[in-house]
This record gives sequence, structure tokens and C-alpha cells, in this order.
Amino acid sequence: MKKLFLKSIMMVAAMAMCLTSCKSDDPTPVIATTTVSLEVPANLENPALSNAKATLTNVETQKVTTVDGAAFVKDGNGYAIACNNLEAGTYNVKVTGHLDFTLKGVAGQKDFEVNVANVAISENSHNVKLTVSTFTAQGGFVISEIFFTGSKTPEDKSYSGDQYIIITNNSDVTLYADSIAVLESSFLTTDKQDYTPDIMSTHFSVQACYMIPGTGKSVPVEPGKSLTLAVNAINHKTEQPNSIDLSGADFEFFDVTSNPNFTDVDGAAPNLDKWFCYTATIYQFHSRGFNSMAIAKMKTGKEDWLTNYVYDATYLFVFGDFSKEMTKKGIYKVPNEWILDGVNLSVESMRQWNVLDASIDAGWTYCGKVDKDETRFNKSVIRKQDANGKYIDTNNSSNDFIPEAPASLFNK
Amino acid sequence: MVAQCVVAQSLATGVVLDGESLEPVVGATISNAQNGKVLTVTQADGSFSIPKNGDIQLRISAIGYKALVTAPVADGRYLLLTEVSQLGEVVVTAQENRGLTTSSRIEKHAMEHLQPSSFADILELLPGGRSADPSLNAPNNIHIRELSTGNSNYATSSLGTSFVIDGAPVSTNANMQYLAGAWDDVATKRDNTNAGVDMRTISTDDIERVEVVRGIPSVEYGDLTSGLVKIERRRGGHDIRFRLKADMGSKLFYAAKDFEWEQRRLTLNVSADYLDAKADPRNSYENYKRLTLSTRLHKSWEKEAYALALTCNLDFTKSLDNDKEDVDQTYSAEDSYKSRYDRYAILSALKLNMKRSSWFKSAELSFSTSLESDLIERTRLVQLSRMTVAPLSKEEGENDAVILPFKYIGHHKVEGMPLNAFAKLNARLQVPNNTVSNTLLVGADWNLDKNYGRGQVFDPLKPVYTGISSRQRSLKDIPANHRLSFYVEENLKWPTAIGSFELAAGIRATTMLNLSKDYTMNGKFYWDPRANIGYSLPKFTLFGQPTFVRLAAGIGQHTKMPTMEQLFPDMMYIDFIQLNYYHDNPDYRRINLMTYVVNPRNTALEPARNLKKEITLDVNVGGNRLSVTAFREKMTSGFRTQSYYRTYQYKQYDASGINAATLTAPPALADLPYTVVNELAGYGNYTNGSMTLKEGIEYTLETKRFPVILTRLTINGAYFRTTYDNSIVDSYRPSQVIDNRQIQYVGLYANDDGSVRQSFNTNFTLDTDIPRLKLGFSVSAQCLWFTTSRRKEVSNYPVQYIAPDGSIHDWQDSDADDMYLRWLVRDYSPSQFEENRVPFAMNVNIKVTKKLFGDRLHIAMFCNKLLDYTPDYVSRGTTIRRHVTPYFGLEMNIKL
Repeated sequence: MKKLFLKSIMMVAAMAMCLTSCKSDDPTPVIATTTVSLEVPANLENPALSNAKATLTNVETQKVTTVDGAAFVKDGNGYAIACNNLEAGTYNVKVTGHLDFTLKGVAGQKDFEVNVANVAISENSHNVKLTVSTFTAQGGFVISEIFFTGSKTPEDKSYSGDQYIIITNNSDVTLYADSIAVLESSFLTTDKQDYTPDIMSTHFSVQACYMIPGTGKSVPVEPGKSLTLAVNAINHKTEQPNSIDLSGADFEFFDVTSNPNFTDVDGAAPNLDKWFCYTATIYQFHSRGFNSMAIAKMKTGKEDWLTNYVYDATYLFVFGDFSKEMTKKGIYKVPNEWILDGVNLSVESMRQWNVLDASIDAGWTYCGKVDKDETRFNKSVIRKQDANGKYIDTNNSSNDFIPEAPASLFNK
Repeated sequence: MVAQCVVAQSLATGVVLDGESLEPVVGATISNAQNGKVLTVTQADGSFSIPKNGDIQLRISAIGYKALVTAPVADGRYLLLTEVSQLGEVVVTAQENRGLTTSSRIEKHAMEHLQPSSFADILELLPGGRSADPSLNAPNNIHIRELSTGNSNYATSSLGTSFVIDGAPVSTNANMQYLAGAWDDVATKRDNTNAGVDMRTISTDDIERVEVVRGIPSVEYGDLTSGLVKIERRRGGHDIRFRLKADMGSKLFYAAKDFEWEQRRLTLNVSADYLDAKADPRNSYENYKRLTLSTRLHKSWEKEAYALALTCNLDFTKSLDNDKEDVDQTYSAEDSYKSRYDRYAILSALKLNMKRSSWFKSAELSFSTSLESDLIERTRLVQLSRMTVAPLSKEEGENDAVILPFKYIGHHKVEGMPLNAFAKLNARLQVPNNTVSNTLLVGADWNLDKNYGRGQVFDPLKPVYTGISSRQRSLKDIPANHRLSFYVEENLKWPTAIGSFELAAGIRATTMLNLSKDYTMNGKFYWDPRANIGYSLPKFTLFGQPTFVRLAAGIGQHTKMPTMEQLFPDMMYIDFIQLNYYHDNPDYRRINLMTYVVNPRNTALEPARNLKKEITLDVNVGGNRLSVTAFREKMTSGFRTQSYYRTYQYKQYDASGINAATLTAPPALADLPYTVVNELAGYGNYTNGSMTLKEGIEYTLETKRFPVILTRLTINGAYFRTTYDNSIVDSYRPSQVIDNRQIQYVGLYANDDGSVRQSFNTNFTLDTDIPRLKLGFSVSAQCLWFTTSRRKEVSNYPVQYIAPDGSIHDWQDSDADDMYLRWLVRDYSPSQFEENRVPFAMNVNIKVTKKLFGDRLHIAMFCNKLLDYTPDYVSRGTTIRRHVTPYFGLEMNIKL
């Protein structure tokens, strides 16, 4: 409908310009229609251009012709606009605008300005081609750090309330983080079982799903910027001097409960929407890192997911002199295509397998080399950065992550 | 009466005793040796009386004994020799008792050979028993004829086994030693409430003889369902004795002094025993210590017409469980668990035996009392990761909870002071009869259990266990349990030409006093009829050996009253969070609760009752004895805890509108919007829903000691099949959270939680006694032919479910696809109900004893599981490997 409308406007405008140019009697040839086409990065899904403006400046005469973006029409993976009755000559062409799009289903946006200088526009050459190269829209949200080990109190007791996960917009466009969910694997990397059906190549089996709430465009994250999702978004230092201040966290894993045995702290940060969790007690990350974690763009509604994305698996459980066929009922699943990033976590002495498909993470990372490693506290797994500060994401956390790195928020 | 007295003057009396044990021979026939005319039979005390007749020759005969022909003497003692003499025999195994009911008799020799640390070790000798490494860091409960799962919902069997020490029952009815709210293994594994006697606390060193009644005990013994352990301790002697024992986990030291003044018929025994056991010899922080002191006085008066005996025992037992964290491993030096058990017990018993022949034979009056001072102390450095509350309100309604500091040292004590008093009076009567030996036992007993402790003692602002749903309550407020019983029992023995018939039949009536009217048990008598009958064939010859065969059968009802904790459990406080507001400034934080108070008392609770049936065949061929018993015991009313769910309402305040920056005080509730929310919550109470069915066959074959090799073979074992079942609907609420709320449905499941276990074992024990070398040794091959276990098949689907509003709905097949209700479908797979079978395993145990220096020094050692045959086996495609570690011990006994 929009396109049709644009087309008809353009037709009317072209006709009008054609009529005026016929009347003109200028010695310089006037080119009836110059097409300025704009190519946008090929990986943008559903790009939508807005506030676009094409400016053509005649180098000799310094005459400026501006065409309003409303006249841009979609043309393949790009846009085109017709500019009528330009005097032939050499032009500097500039297109500015704003692109809305999705990347792997995540809403994104970017303002751009592209320039091309000294373009000759003549009877024979009246197409100007510009490519939006100021951003590539490569990458997307990545898990840049998981702090799951917790800290130690001055009395040497473990404290796990200060766990957090940081997700970073690793692209060069602004991306919206709402409806991205933090997922924790249902299976343990330290307990390999032959689950039937084996859905790992298509789905991730999860035991916890906490989603960033919003309308879909409520939580913009600028390129390179991060969101800290804290298990408890409070200043932990007030009660635990060896811990950190997470009162500035962006979101919180808050567990609403009426049971005083499991009171959770509701810090100032907005709460994540708890779609599903395997326990009615307090949720926290596995403090030795036996579960893999992932982030995914939830592409369906809560009720649909809760009703339809669940399956039962069977497996043979062997322990000592005991072997039984077991059923694991009610495993929620998230299609692998929804997953933006995933990290297998484990401990070397205990590890048995990866619970994320190799297309998401072919490797694994860790804090602590043996079970209950006392040296693991205050340490995170942190994604490596390249020379430009971009996070490295080769879908292999063995390469991409620094294991046992000092947790970043402790240094602040 | 007068006539009888006149007649009595012309009577000749005597007593017939077993020539070896000097125990009375009941039902021996006294006949005239000349004409064979039966004159009379001996009574329960072995006594008889016949008309005086100058020249008569008596022939005294009884099955199993060589007949004795003798001239009567005044007040004669006639000793009968057994057909197969076992004089001087040292028996190091348990022996099947010769009485009507099935019981195992374990003598001092057997215990010396076994080298036990506590009573638990002795049970190896029972049919079906097998040596096990002592585990002294947690309570040891008895499981007679049972393959226990350790499930506390099926603990009635151990609770219902009565331990009677020198006639005084050990009561555990007022045991309230549990840490309320405890979830940690260190505390829960040592919780012995409602599980009966902790056998660790019973020292074996003073024991002269133990009788474990597996079958149907006399109605004289009550408040039991499953068995009776009668312990008789040493009396008299002149020795000073020491015992030193060490094994891989414990050290034991014992010293005793025996006094006896024969002329004054007075004995005094004083002893002390100390045990120090570690769960792991490398870890000195987790240990168990026991100290027992015992003083036993016995005085008797022999008069012409009667004998009077007075027993006075004074006992003290102290036991200490310690579990402290290793400071080198964790930083929290404060963390510790201590459980102390101090028991002071007094027994006074007066026994009157009439020597004259009359209808009144004997009477017994005994009074025993015990006072315990029990203390559990748990200390823990508590470091919270979350804002946690201390609910304090004891009233129903809305209240603000105190928010606990994030770090504190919590102390939690449980102070118990159970007092038990037991009084018993009975008499044995006899109707004079010359053909049937008979005794009528009539008696009554009264038992009181009260606890004067303070119960759970902790600072609610510094709880070790946060979120505790009980509040402090002094145990003194719990009414005393009074139990009153009456019993009557007839014992008959009728020797005839075609064999001898025996009968012990009686009835016991028990009621609980001091119970309020709303209890079903109020004013109600529970009747326990019990009967054992036996028939012994006359002696015949088989393979040239004198042979005796006896058939016995019994049926009996047994009743165990609920314990104090089961009758008067703690009130439940169910708290709901209405507002949970956190602020950086601790002064502005607020947690508001709605508290409901629920009394989980089940006034419909009734005693647990066990109906036992058994049949025994006892064959003795020339001193080689085989005894086989088949039994079936069904207890359908065992105690268990059951969850009940109800809907409660509370306000859920919305704190999102509070501006944290402008607060000057905790947020006021009046200004906050709220919604009223329904929530299901459960609480547990005691019911009679547990069924325990015990079936099996016990067998013991004891051979004579073969001459040249001086070796005796004992083959004993049992096939047991134990079935557990729950007759009460079980409830389950899934713990998953869907869309920010825990699933608000509770499934109700029928006949849940059952299992069937079987085992079949045989122990082959060869014991050699070489008197010349003063050396005894035994080799025992303990074969476990198989064990199986199978869970009772239960449906994954509930029969009904409770909706959030409390309404109950029938389960529909389509509910399995509902977003919430699907979680009520549980995940048992069919293979979980398949039988799990563990095949053959054998351990070989060796024990050696050697006497030195004229029997003054006695050295013994044992090595259990020195050899083993435990082959790998395949279970569902997986090879299971089994490992056995030997267990050694050594001891030294000195007698001065």
C-alpha cells in the first residue's frame, strides 16, 4: 500500500517535471530523470527507510537540489529515488536518513549519511549509486560476560547474590534488547545422558527463561553498549563488603513469591519477565557453571511458548548398582534460530558434553578446573575483544572467551 | 481352702530342673516307676507335689530328656539330663529358643566372640542378619524381619520394637529431639524422633543374655508392634574385668567389678564403659562418644514358704554426637552440631516366689523410671544472600516481619527432658492339676511419658534455619502420655502318650489416658489377643539318633501407641509475604506478612497395629537341630506424615509506585495499591496410612560339635519379603514457576509410595573350639543369594487436583495438555517400577579368640569381609562393579 502510494506520487511528480522541462529553453542539457539509488547492507531484514533526504549539489554552479525521502521507493534490497530535470554536470550527492530493520529478528535502527563526490550526470549517465557503508550491521547481541561464581565473604562463606550476566550490542547499529530472553540449559554439561528425542540440533532445552520486558522497541542499546542483568540489583557492598554494587544494573532476575522461605530482594532495576523457571525457590546461576547459558529473541508470545514449546524426554540413568529408564517431563525448548548467542559452561574435571548445538557454541569455557574449585570466586568468563574493541564471536567459546577472568564489575 | 491346707501336709514336693542350665523343666511327667501310673506333671516353675507314699520310686520324664528313676526326697531337686548332652558347650552363635514363640537367644560367649561395640552389632546373629560395618555417627535403629528403606514414613517397625533391660522398658515416646526447620544433613541424619531406640546407646559389656523375640511375645509385653528385645545383665561373681577394644572406627574401654556375698544372698555389680567412635578415622571433627555407668544390686531372701528377690539397678548413659566443620577447610570455626543424651534410669523390682504348692505361685512388682537430659546444639555462621525475614508472630493476622541481618551467628538448641515412669504388677496363679501343667498370668502396667524440656530454643532474630515454620513452644505444655494396660495369659503344657501339647494364650488391653475428648483414642481400649500353640512328638529314632519334632504356630495382635510428637505436633505457622520492599537504607526496608496458624494435630490418629502369624517346625536329630519358621506380619496402620493443602488469602501489595528517593521511613501500607491473592499451602500431619507387610522364612540349622575336628556348623538365614504401601491419598504441588508464579495446582495421587523388597541369605558359620589350646575360631561365609527391590507401580496422573481457589476437580485426560495442569503429570517411567535385582554376593568373616594365663587374659580379633566374592553384573546394559573393604578389630579382655 505504501509502495503503491509512493509510486503514484512519483508518477505524478515525474509528469509534472516533464511538462516544465519541455518548456525550458536552457543551453545546458537538462536530464529528465536522474535515479539516485541507495544500497543498504544486505543482511538487514525488513529495512524501512525514514527521514531520508537526497541532496545533489552541482559542483560548478553550487546549485543544490534536494529530494525528500518520501519519494524513495524500495528497489530490491535498496531504495531508489528519481530526481527530475537536473542540469547535466558534475554533482556531489549525499543521502541521509534513518533505517529501521531487524537483525536475526532483533529490531535495530541506524541514522546514516552517505556521500559520493564528482558524479557526472549526463544524458548517457543518469544513475547515481550510493551504498550505505557507514555501518555493516554485522554481529548483534552477544553475551560478553557471565559472572556465576559469586564472591566470598570476609568469613570465607560463599555469596551468590551478586551474580550477573552482561549482554552487549556487538554491532554498529542500535539494537533493541526487549523480548530477548536469558536462557539456562535444562541439561548439565557435567551429566551426559542420551536424551530421546535428541533435539539439540534444532532446539535448546531450557530450565529457566527470563525475558527483558518491553513493547519490542523499548530498550534501545547503542552499538558497543551493554546491559547488565543482575540476579539481585542492589548494592551488595552494604551487606557484603567483598562484593560489588549492582544497584545500577539494567534489569534484575526477581522472583516474586509469597513464601517467606524464599524471599528475593527486589532492587531498583526493572524486573525481568519470568516466563518459566524450574524452581519456586530463589533463582540463581549454577555457581560452579554446570549449565550452559544463552540469549534468544523470543519470536512468539508467552502463552504460545509456554503451551507449545515443551517436550518430554527419556533417558537411561545409571548410578552405582542402579540403572533405570527415566523420563524428564516438561522440558521447555527454544528453536536454535532464535538464539543470538550461547555459551557452554563447565568444569574440566567434571565435563561430559556440550548442551548447546555446535552451530551456537562449538566450545566451552569455565571458572574453576575442578569441582567446587575454591579459587573460582570473583571470576567470570569474559568474551575476548579484537583490536577495535569488538567482541570476537566465532561460535566457539573455547576461542572466544577468557576463562577465569577477574569479574569486570569488581574493578569499577 | 482349709481342706487344701490339710491335704497339703501329706504331700511330697519337689522341683525338676534342667541338669545343665538349672532352669525348670515344665510339663515333665512324674509317674510311679513300678506301675507306670502318672501321678502329676511339673508346673511352670518345675515344681510338683504328690501324695506322700513311703516306698514309691518316681519316674520323671520329659521330651528331650533322659528319664530319671529315683526315690523321692523331701523338697527334692531332680536334675534331668538332656537326651543329647551339650554340657560345657561354648556357643558363639545365636540359638533358637526352645520356647513357643520364635526368638533368638544370644549368650555372653557369642558376644565375646562377636566383639561388638554396641547392641547394633549383635543383630548380625539373627536369621537374615549379616555383618555390617558399624556406623556410629548416626542413630542405629532395629529392623526385625524387615528390609528397611530408611524412609521415615515406615519407621513404625523400629519404633514398635521394645527394648526391655532387666525388666525395665526403654521408652522413646517423649523424644522430641529434632531441630525444627533443619534441612542440612548434619542435623537430619541424626534425627531419631519416632524411630525407636538408638541401639548405639546400649552397651553390650554387661549383657549376660539377650533374647530377641521375633515372633509373638507374651501379653506381658506391650506398646510394641514388631518385636521385643529382652536384655539380662550380669549378676554376681567376684571378678574385676577390663575390656579394651579397637577397630577401624572406634575404641572401647570397659571396667567392671563384681561382688557377691553368697551367705547374704547379695550381689553387686558395678561397671563403666566408654566408647569413642569416629565416622572416618582421619576426621576427628565428626565423632560419637558414649559413657555408661551401671550399678546393679540384687538381694534375695529364702524362707521356708517363699523366696523374695529385690533388684535395684541404677544406670547412667551419656552419649554425644559431635560434628564440627574442619577449620582448615572452611573458615567458619563456629559451625558445629552437638547432640547430647544423658539418661538416668532406676529400676526396683520385687519378686515373690511361693514355695508351697498352692494356687498362688509368684508375684512381681516393679517400678522403673528414667529421666533424660537431651540437648542438641547447632551453631552456624549464617550469611544470607538475600533479604530474609524472621517471622515472629504467633497470632493469626497481618504483621511486619523482622528483616534478618545478612550476617550473624545463629544458635539453635533443642532441650528435651523426657521423664518415663513404668510400673508393673503381676501374679502367676495355678490351678492344681495332675495332668496339665498350667499357669495363669494376670497383671497390669502403667506407663507415663512426659517431657519437661524447653524444646526448640533459639533467638528468632538469629535463627540457624531461616524460614522456620514453627515457633518456640515449651515441651512442658504438652500433656503427659499415660498408658494403662491389663493382661491375662494362660500357659498350659499337657504331656500325653502321643506327645506333648503346649498353649500360651492371652489378651492384653491398653488404653491411653489423659487425652482430650476429641481424640478418637479417648477412652478406647485396644485389645491384643495373642496365642501360641505347640505340639511335640514323642521321641523316636532316626538314623540311630534320638529325634524330637515340634510344631508350633502362633497368631497375635500387637499395638503401639502414638508418640508424644505424633499426638501433639508443633503448631504450624504459615506466612505469606504481602509486601517485600528493599531499600539501600536498611531502615526503610519492609516485609509485611499475613500469618495463618494451623494446628496439625490429627485427633483421629490411632495406634499402629500389627497382626503376626507364624508357624515353626523344629527338628532335633541327635543334637543337630533344624528350626524353620514361616511368618506373615501385616501392619496396616503404621504412622506417616501426610501433606494437606488448603487455600489461603493474602494481599499482594504493588510497591512499584514507591519513590525510593523521597522515602523517610518504610513505606506505609495504607497508600499502597494491592490485590487479594489466593495461594495454596500445605502442612503435614500424622496419619495411620503406612502399611508394612513382612513375609518370610527364617531357618537355623545347628549341628553338634563334630568330635575330632571340634567344629560346629551353623547354617542360618532367611528369606524376607517386605512390602510397603500407603493407603492415603498423596498430594504434590509442582515447584515450577510459570509466568512469574509457582504453579497454583496441587495433584492428588492414589496409593502412592509403595515398594517391595526381597532378600535371601545364608550364613555358614564353622566354629572351632579347642579347649586344650584355649583357642576358638570361626569362619563365617555370609552369602546373600540375591536382593531385589521394586517400586510399586503408580500412575503418573493424579486422580484429582486442587485448583487455586481450593476447589477439587476430577482429572480429565485432556488436562495433560493444559499449560499448568500438565505439570501435575509426574515423570515416572515404566522401568522405574521394574524389579532391581542384585545377584549373589559373599563375604567371609574370620574371628579368633585365645585365652591366656589361666583364662585371665582373653585376646580376640575379627576381620570381616576378609575375602569376598562379589562378581560384576549387568543391569540394563550397564556393568555394575562392586567393591568390598575389609573391616578389622582387636580386643583384649582381662579378668582378675
